[in-house]
Amino acid sequence: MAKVLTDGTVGTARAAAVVSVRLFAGAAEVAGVRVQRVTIQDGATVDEVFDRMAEQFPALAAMKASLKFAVNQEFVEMDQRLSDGDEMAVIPPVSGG
Amino acid sequence: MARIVKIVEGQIDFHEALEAARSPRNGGLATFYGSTRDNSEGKSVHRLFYEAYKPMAVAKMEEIADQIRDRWGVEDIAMVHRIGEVPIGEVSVFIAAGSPHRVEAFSACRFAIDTLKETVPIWKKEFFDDGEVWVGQTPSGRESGD
Repeated sequence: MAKVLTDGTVGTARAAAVVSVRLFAGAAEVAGVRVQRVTIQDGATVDEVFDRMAEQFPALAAMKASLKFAVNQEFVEMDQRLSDGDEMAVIPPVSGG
Repeated sequence: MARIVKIVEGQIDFHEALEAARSPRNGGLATFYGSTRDNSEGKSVHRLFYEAYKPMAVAKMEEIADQIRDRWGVEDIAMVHRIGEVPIGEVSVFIAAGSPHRVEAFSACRFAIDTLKETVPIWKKEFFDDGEVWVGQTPSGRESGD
């Protein structure tokens, strides 16, 4: 929503949002964590949130090319935007069966 | 008409799954049993462990069952995946598809296991003498194996 900022300009204020990021299998192992709450700006992308996680858990960065992502249990592209309360999942190559 | 889609810990109840796919109107019942192997790429495997993103895995399996219904008209289907520790030689995944005629039952069963292995968020870890690996994942993230 547009509003007048303190410096007198008009801009878009993006509210803070909290998403939970779930990690599985090898991704959970290298990060040493299975679920992490991340505070983002509303509308941040999956790519941005993953990069935040990778800063905190550098071993994740090397896996990035092999990963898929889901939001609220649906596969999404990395430019998918996130809102407050979303559940983002980091999905390594699947190997069920 | 019956459909069973689930993820279980502990041994799969084959009887329950078969009964879901069996029906007096079905002349064919195709099944697939996937079991844990004691070897992988030339190495001995001592034990296996499966992990799932359970709610999404069940949702994806339901989607596969929907696709099978839409494509072949097969509504009597069971898809059951076991997670946690699965001893060598035990069944980790079971599919049963019942249909009036065999062609659709075989097709549905084949599609179910092939698609499950490609799209359902379940992961298998193999334990060897000298280490362990999540199948298809390497520490650097490159894919390996199947």
